[in-house]
Amino acid sequence: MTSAHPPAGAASGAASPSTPARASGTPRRSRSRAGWIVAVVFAFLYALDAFQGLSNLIGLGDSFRAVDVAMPGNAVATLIGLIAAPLIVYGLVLWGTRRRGAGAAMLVFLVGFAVVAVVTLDLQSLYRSIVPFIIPV
Amino acid sequence: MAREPDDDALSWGDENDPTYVAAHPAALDEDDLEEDVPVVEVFSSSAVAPPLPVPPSAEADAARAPEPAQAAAATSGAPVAAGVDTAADRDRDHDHDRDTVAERDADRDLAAADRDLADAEAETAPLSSAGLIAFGVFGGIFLLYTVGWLVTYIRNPTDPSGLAGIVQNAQNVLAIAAPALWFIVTLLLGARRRVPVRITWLAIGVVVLLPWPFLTGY
Repeated sequence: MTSAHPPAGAASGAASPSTPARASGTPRRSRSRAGWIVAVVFAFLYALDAFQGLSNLIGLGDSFRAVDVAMPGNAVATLIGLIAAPLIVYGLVLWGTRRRGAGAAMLVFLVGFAVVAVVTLDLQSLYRSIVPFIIPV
Repeated sequence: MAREPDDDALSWGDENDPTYVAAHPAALDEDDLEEDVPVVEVFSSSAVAPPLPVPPSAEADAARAPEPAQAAAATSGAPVAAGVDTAADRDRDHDHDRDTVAERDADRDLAAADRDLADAEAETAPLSSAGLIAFGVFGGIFLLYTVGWLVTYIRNPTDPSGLAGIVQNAQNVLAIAAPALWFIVTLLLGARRRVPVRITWLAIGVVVLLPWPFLTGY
């Protein structure tokens, strides 16, 4: 019975791994060379965001140390989040686009970059709500 | 074998009927089904009809009362006639097997064609009204988010000097564009996905892209 009526996957199994199937949108096996170039270019942009977060953490920590005041734990968490957000989003996008073409990957990296911007502004707003003043240097 | 009018009384029209002719439903339209078309009459001979399980009573009749020609042959040259008969039976069995395999292949091809057609229809099916309304609602929410991020940008102007200023300014602009980007890219890359999958991704975007600075005022 099973051999007479094979399941759907088995019936078209011989044709599915062929090239036309991939051309019609089936995910490819791994990232192409162009896809890696896109990933590296966006790595620099995401790294800029992470660097900005790092400079915020160092600069604001120095400001608090200058007036001899301990920074609130929540504020430290938001500043660490500013560094972590680009790295986490980049990792998620890199993993999510591993079987996508270079063009689709570029779009997703762009959206991820915008999401990093949104999360950064959210965390900065959260920091301002925790520390609603600017320490004069 | 001659067909007698009494045979009609024995034809009950299902698959156990020896005179039943299997026809693909697609080959018959409603008129054919309504009228008692002579198709059955034409193809009711056992030579043309597809192989069907012969009822035990028919087999017994055949064994009990052989054809007159066969009976005559049995009296004259029994071994030769018997040998020819066996070979003919074997050929018939072989044809029977071949027909069954061909039918199975045809059925499988038909099923595969039906599946391909269903897949193609699912891919190119127009968006349902509910899906269209849902996408419209999400589009409206993302439009509001864009306004929210724009207001935030106007409220908190940044000095675009130095690397930190440039990055901060770029982030402000990207935050304004983020809802539109998310919406477009979700619909673009998810065009071949099912509608609930796309709606799930749009819902994730509604949570992630919330203009928190606009809502809290900080």
